[in-house]
Order: sequence, then C-alpha cells, then structure tokens
Amino acid sequence: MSEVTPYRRMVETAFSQAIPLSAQFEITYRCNHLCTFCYNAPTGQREMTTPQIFEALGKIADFGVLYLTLTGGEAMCHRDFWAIAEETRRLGMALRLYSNGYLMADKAVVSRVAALHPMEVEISIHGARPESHEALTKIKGSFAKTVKALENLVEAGIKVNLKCPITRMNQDELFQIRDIGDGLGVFITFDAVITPKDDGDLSHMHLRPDDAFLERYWGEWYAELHRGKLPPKTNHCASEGATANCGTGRSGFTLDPYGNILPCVAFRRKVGNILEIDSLRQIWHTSPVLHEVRNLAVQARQRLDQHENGPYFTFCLGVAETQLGDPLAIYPQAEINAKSVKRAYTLLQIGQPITQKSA
Amino acid sequence: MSLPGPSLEARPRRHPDSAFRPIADEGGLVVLPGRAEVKVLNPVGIRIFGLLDGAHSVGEIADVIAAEYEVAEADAREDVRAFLAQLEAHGMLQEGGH
Repeated sequence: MSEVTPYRRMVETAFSQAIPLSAQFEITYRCNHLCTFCYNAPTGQREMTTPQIFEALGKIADFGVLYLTLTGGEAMCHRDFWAIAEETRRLGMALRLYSNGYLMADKAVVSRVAALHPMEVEISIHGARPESHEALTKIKGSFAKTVKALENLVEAGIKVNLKCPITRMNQDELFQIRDIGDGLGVFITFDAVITPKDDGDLSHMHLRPDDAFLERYWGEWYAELHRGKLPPKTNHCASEGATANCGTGRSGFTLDPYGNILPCVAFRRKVGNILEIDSLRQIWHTSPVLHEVRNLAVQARQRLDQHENGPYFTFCLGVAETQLGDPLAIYPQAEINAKSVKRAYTLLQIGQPITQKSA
Repeated sequence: MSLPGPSLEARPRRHPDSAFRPIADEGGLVVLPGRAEVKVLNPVGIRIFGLLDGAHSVGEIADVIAAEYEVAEADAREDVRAFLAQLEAHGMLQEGGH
C-alpha cells in the first residue's frame, strides 16, 4: 500500500468533511471549435455579464476555494477573459485553465497567460494528425495551432497537461498522440468515456470507442501509454476506500455561464444561482440538492461494492443520470471499463499476496 | 549571535502569487502557482501564513501565537522568526516585503 503523504491526508480530510478545495467555472459557452462530441448544451439564456462574473468570483474566493478552473466553451473566447483571469488571481485563487489551445498558437497570448502564473494549463488534443484531430473539431488548421500552443506553453515554462478524449476516430493513434506529449515533455491523460450532452442528447454516443478496443486499452495498452501507471480503480476525485464514489457536491462544484451552481461538471442538478445568494456558505451545508447528491455518491459506492467487478469501477453519477435517467444505474461503458480493468489486474496478478504462510 | 528570520518590527507579506486554505484542525495547504508547488503546513504554520498580510508585525504575529497556543512569548518570537526564515527559503514570502 502506498504511503499516505501529508498532502493526501489533508485532501482526504477535506473530502470527508465536504470542504470544497476546487471549483470549475464555465465562463462562456462560446467556442472557436465545433467538436461533435462536446457535452455543453447551451439553453439560449443570457450568460452572466462581466460584472456578474466578478461578483461570482468574489463569492467563490470568499468561500475559501483554493483552485479555480476557468473553462467553457472555450474560456479564452470570452471577450473579458483576461480581466476575469486576472481577477481570479487577484482574489488569491490558484488558476487552472482548460483550453483547446487554438488562440495560444500566438506567442504574445502565451506571454499574457504566463504573466497570470497559472497552476497549470490543460489542452485537449483529438488526434495525432490534422485529419483525425480536425474530423472532430471541424476546424481546419486547428491541429497545427494546438501543437504550436503546446510548444509555446512549454517554452514559456508553464505546466501543461495534455488531455485526449478517446473516440472511434482516434482510438488507433493513441501511441502517436502520446508521442506528441513525450516530444514536448508534457504528461498526457486519456479519457475513455464519451459523455452524453448535458441535456441528455445521446446522438454523438456512436463516437465512443468500441468494446474490443476498450479491453485492449485497459489491458495491454494502459500501462504502456501511461509510462507504467496502472489503470485507475476509483474516480480521480475520490481516494481508494472513500465512502463516497466521487467528490460531486463535496470536494468541489461547478458554475455554468448562467450562474447556476452545480454539484460537479458532470452531475448537473441545479443547487441554486450564485447571483441569488449572499454567500456560498449559505447553501453548502443546507442545500437539499447537495445533501441528496452526497448521499447518492455514498449509495453509488455501496452499490458498486456489491457488484462482482466493484473494486474496478470508475463510475459517474452524472453520466448515469443523463444516459439512463437514474444516477445509480450502471451504464454500459462503466460496466465494460470495470470488466476490462479487472481483467487487466487479474492478468498482472496485482493485489494478490506474493507469498502465503503454510498452515 | 542573532536569531534567524526577520526582525520583530518587520511586516512580512506572503508571496502575492500564493493561494492558501486552512483545512479543519489539521493545518492547511499553500499553493505556489508560479512554481507549480503545493506546501502542507501544520495548524500553527497556516495560522501564521494567514497573518502575513503586511499589516501585522512579526512581534504581533508572535503575540497571537503565544496567546492562541499557550506558549511563552519569548519562545513564540523565536519560533515565528525561524518559521518565517523557512518560508522565505521556500519562496513563500514576497521578496523585499519586510
């Protein structure tokens, strides 16, 4: 068992006591890409104005959030992106930025990003070649710009994470995509789950990788793609052994461009609107929605623990709700992933005692 | 021999890029985005870090610690100064901020 570091212990305390360390702020749904599998589902409502965004930022900072991720849409497409990012830093929060990188192909833009001292910038990539990347982004020239952005960010000394949602269109070039990251010294994570749109639309789900691929990915390929790392057995936002399946409504929350407070980016039950409350403290421990969501995350863990592949599940309540209408229902992708991860661990004989005392 | 750390009259400031948060009774986290580092402080450490706003002198901070943690004033002063020297060595204070 790995040693529990002081940092891990503190994060676990925050998790168990529902102290939110991070928040994700979708400042706009505007985007310069047209990704076919994007989960955003704008409603047509008016997005918050910049002064309203500043008001929201003040409330988030006042609540003690440590890490704030600016995202979208494409966050940099917001006309006041720079002012919003500067305000985030002025308020003392560590800034993360999720982006497609398109606008950061320009070195002058990256210099401004560097001046914000972001904790990290996460860039999405969808293929190892222009043809595959642009088949998903639908923007000609976007591959070259994303790669240029990566080069610029690395050159500027900014910590970069590369992220690749796996689809049928790029599933055969993951090693080449990883090589792009390796060439720049950038760590890459792959995401094997394509989620439904936030409004429940499933029309793009045919893009998800096929089952035979998923078996190979979790089995033979995962460790090689991730430099020896083993497949995850829990959600990234919960530790192994945690009573809740994930940190939804617990370790963080999400704000959409209309000011709606949501338990997390995937589980989008409205908790309230940030413009209608004086303080996030007002609702964090009293909201019936958050109370229910936290309970559901505990129930999900309990239910998974009884499943034959239980210890190998990464499970998202939000995907279950949008896909099957029940946040506790086990959706096919989770089932296939868990089975494949279990198979991988069985093949590697991980978790088995090395020696047994004779009777 | 002089003690390490700033004088009692100095008014140090935490690094302007830092973000911090106390967590329950266990201490707290300090993020240094420019260095992509996160530091873990114990409860006394995070209390001191929160007081590094440029308004409190080292002596005043030591008084707070002495009162809240029931330690002798002289010990609190010595410990706070030594702790500030460590923070400075780890790039957690504003340069020239005291």
